[in-house]
Formats: sequence, structure tokens, C-alpha cells
Amino acid sequence: MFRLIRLLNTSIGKKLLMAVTGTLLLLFVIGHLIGNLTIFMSQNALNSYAHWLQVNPMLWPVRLGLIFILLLHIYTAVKLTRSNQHARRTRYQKSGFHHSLFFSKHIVFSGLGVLLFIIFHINHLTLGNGISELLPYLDPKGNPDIYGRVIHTFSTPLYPLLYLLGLIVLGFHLNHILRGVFQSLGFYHDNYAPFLDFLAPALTAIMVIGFALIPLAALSGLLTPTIVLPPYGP
Amino acid sequence: MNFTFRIWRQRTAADKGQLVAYPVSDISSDLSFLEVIDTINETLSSRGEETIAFDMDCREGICGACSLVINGQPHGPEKETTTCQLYMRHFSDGETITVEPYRADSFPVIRDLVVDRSPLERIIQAGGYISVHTGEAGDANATLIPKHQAELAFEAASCIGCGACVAACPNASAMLFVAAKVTQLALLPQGQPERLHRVIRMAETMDHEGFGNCSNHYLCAEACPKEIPISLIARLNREFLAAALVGQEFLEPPHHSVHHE
Ligand code: HEM
Ligand code: SF4
Ligand code: FES
Repeated sequence: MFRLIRLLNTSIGKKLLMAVTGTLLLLFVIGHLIGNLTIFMSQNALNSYAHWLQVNPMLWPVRLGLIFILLLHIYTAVKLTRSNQHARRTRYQKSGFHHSLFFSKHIVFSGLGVLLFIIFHINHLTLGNGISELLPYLDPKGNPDIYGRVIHTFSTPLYPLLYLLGLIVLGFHLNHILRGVFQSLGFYHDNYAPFLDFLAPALTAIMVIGFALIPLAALSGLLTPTIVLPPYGP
Repeated sequence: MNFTFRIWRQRTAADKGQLVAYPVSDISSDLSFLEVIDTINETLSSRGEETIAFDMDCREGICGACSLVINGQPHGPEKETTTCQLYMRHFSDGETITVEPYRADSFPVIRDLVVDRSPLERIIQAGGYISVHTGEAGDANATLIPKHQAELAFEAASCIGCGACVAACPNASAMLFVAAKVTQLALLPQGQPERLHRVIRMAETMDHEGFGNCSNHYLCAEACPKEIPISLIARLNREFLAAALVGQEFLEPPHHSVHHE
């Protein structure tokens, strides 16, 4: 315990915590992507996956764990960023490094963007605010028709646009940071360096494109809607 | 060649300070950067004005005393070059050249272009050494070191402690410096007895002195005149995390809580 407290009081320890919590969040995001991609298998595949999650006794423990990890990630990010800002309060009158500091400078903003997106996304598809008229529909097996909900809400450009925006922000966050994770964990080896350099953009691309396929497929009509709302309310 | 030098002038640590323009004309392209400042200083002193204070010693790129941020880049625009090894031919005729001191809250300005870099000394004092017993000189090749290992250690040991990495980093992080100093000894047999102590003390002193942490901009390695590789930061993290997780030394009181004058 003493070791842990002392470790987390050092900046290297805080970076370790960032890397560990960030990686756990990333593992969740990967799992979430794999689950969501069942939408391309069938209506039943996605709906039974969603039903399995809903009735799973581990649902709330995992949710609470994720929220805790996210809060820890954000709290540590704020602490680190503040101490970094304190370390250098005077700027140069003339700045010499012109090339793209954009991503790294805006890591806090991309993080904040991800947070806003998470809140928006949970409010939208998890809590169902704004799509309440879609909630009562069941599929032929009697499971809530998540498939229908998703396709319906992505059938007009507004929501696909907002989701794509959120994904791009997440992409910025991951792309800049993934290379740093191995550094924070203390892993470096000349032989693996090219692989690690490749991993960050590759994983980021898989994440962003994978998730983006869903709203894009729904918008373009590639996925067939199963919910057709009556024009003037139910 | 003709230039306009805009140089940071600040009489004392408490002063606000400002950039002052100094035109220089008809200078040889083979003059070094510091020689131009010498020239300006001769003019100033012949007029009875205060000369510009700046740090330097060897003027051959090996001591780490010279500093300066030239057009926003520590040690100026040339790669792998200290300020003292920078020549006017690296600039274009008629250019305006802005010269500022290193900026970091841990490196307060003492006067003009001179900053206090003693925090780096204190990091070294905390653990960047090996303890040896004096006596007969040992046999030269008695301790075997694999070639690859020796080369890596030597590469790390080429750090001259100039602090350009701190000056370049937006977080004023000293991690590249600390990483070089931890690595050079961690890789050699002579460094083993104090290996865990060393990294714990140096890393904690680095925090204690108010340096920031790495957020992966990597401007340090770009500014470093000795091309210390960025991968050493991962090695520093590995050394420190291993020491923190298993080292008996991590259970002893932190170095900076023990006061010795
Ligand atoms: C799905 C959500 C998220 C994932 C997968 C994620 C992932 C990561 C990862 C893997 C790191 C690397 C840590 C390192 O450099 O070792 C990181 C760093 C960071 N994260 Fe996140 N993150 C998420 C959400 C957020 C949020 C909501 C914020 C809000 C403030 C945030 C702010 C930051 C910051 C500022 C850093 C950089 C810290 C530094 O380098 O000093 N992240 N993130
Ligand atoms: S790592 Fe490079 S820039 Fe930093 S102190 Fe050593 S030589 Fe100077
Ligand atoms: S004066 Fe010695 S390195 Fe520049």
C-alpha cells in the first residue's frame, strides 16, 4: 500500500495510472466495437447480444467499474496537465517548432471531446432520450429491437454526423497516445519499435472505421429498417 | 553579413526584462554565434553600457555550459549542434535573430541570458554517481562488458547536461536528461549496487525540483545537441517502475525529505 501511494505521488507513477486506465478503457471500446458489429450479421444477432448484456448479473459491476476507471483517468489527466503547466509558465516570444504540435497540444481537448461524446452517446442510445418513440418495439423473438432503433436513428444525417464527429475526436486521442502507452509502461525495444509505430495508427483506424461503418450503413440504406413509425405518432 | 539581434535583457531575477535590438554589420560568415555576442559586448562596453551576460565555457561543444534559445530553438536551428558550435553561415544575410534565455519555472533567469540550472546538479547529487573505494587502480579490462551494452551506455553518457531538453519541452520536462543519466550507469556493472536507489532518488528529485512530465511531444530529442534517443525515457520509466514495485529501497524515506546541507 505504501509503495502504491508513494508511486502515485510521482509523475512517472501518474503516467502509469494514465496508461493502465486508458488501456482498460480502450479494451472496453474494442469489446464494444466487436459487439456492435454483430449488426451486420442479422437483426437477431445484435438483439440477442444486447439482451444477453441486459440480463447479465455482471452488467452493473462492470458499468460501475468503467465509470470509476474513467473518473480516475480524467482526474489523473487534470492533475498531470496542471503540474505540467506549472513547470513552464513563461512562453518564448518567438516559437521555433512550427511543425504539428497540434495533436499533442490538444490532447486535453480531445480528451474533453471524448468525454462530451460519451455523455451524449449514453444519453442517446443507452438511456434513450430523444428516441423514446422507438423504445417499445420488440423483434420477432420478443427482445427489444435495438437493431431497429439504431438503424432508425441513423436514417437522417444529423445523428450520423454527430457520431462521426465523436469518432474523429476519439481517433485523435488514441492516435497521439497509443505510442506513449508503451513508453509509460516502460516498454521499449529497438526490434519492436517499427511495430509499435505501426500499431497506433492501425488500431486507431480500425476503431474509427469500424464504428463509423454502422451509421454510414444505416444512412446509405445498406441496413434495412425494421421499425417504420406511423407518420403522426403511434 | 548583416543581422539584427533581438536579445533578452534582464538586470536581475526580479526584473521584468525585455528584448532589445542590436544591429550588427559586416561580420564574417565564419564567426561563431557566441563570437557575435562577444562583438556586441565589446561595442557595449566601449560605450560604457552593461554587457550581455551569457553562459559558456569550452566553446567546443563538450561542456554543456552554453545555452540560449535562438529563434525559438534551444541551441539554434542546426541539428546536433551546441550554441557555441553554431556559425553565422547557418543564418541568412539580413535575418533578424531572436535570442532568449531557457524558459522553465525550475530554471529562473539570473541575468540576461543566464539561467540557474542547479536543479540538474541536484538531480545528479541525488543519485547520478557511483561510489568507489579509492586505492590501487584496477586492472583495465578486468570487468567484461558486452559491446552492445557498452555502446548503449556510451551513447547515454554523451549527455552534456546542457538542459536544452528542458528548454524545448512545453512541460519543461527533464526526463531526457534524467533518462540519459540513469541509463549510462544502469547498463554498466559498476552501476549495479546503487541501481535502484539511484533511479528512485533521481526521479523523485526531478519531480521535487518542479520539472514537468512527458506528454509525448518529443521536442527534447529534437533539441538535444547530443542526439540522446527518446527511447531512453521508456528505459527510465522501466527502471523506476521496477524499483518502485519490487525494490526494498522504495520503502525507505524519500531522499528529498532528508535534509543535509
Ligand atoms: C474511451 C475513452 C478513453 C480512452 C480509451 C482513453 C485512452 C487513453 C490512453 C490509452 C492514454 C495514454 C496514457 C499514456 O500516455 O500512457 C490516455 C491519455 C490521456 N487521456 Fe484518455 N482516454 C479516454 C478518455 C479520456 C477522457 C474523457 C479524458 C478527459 C479529460 C482523457 C484525457 C486524457 C489525457 C489528458 C491524456 C494524456 C495525459 C498525459 O499525457 O499527460 N481521456 N487516454
Ligand atoms: S539530454 Fe541532450 S539536451 Fe538534455 S541535457 Fe543531455 S545533452 Fe542536453
Ligand atoms: S560552451 Fe561548452 S558546450 Fe558550448
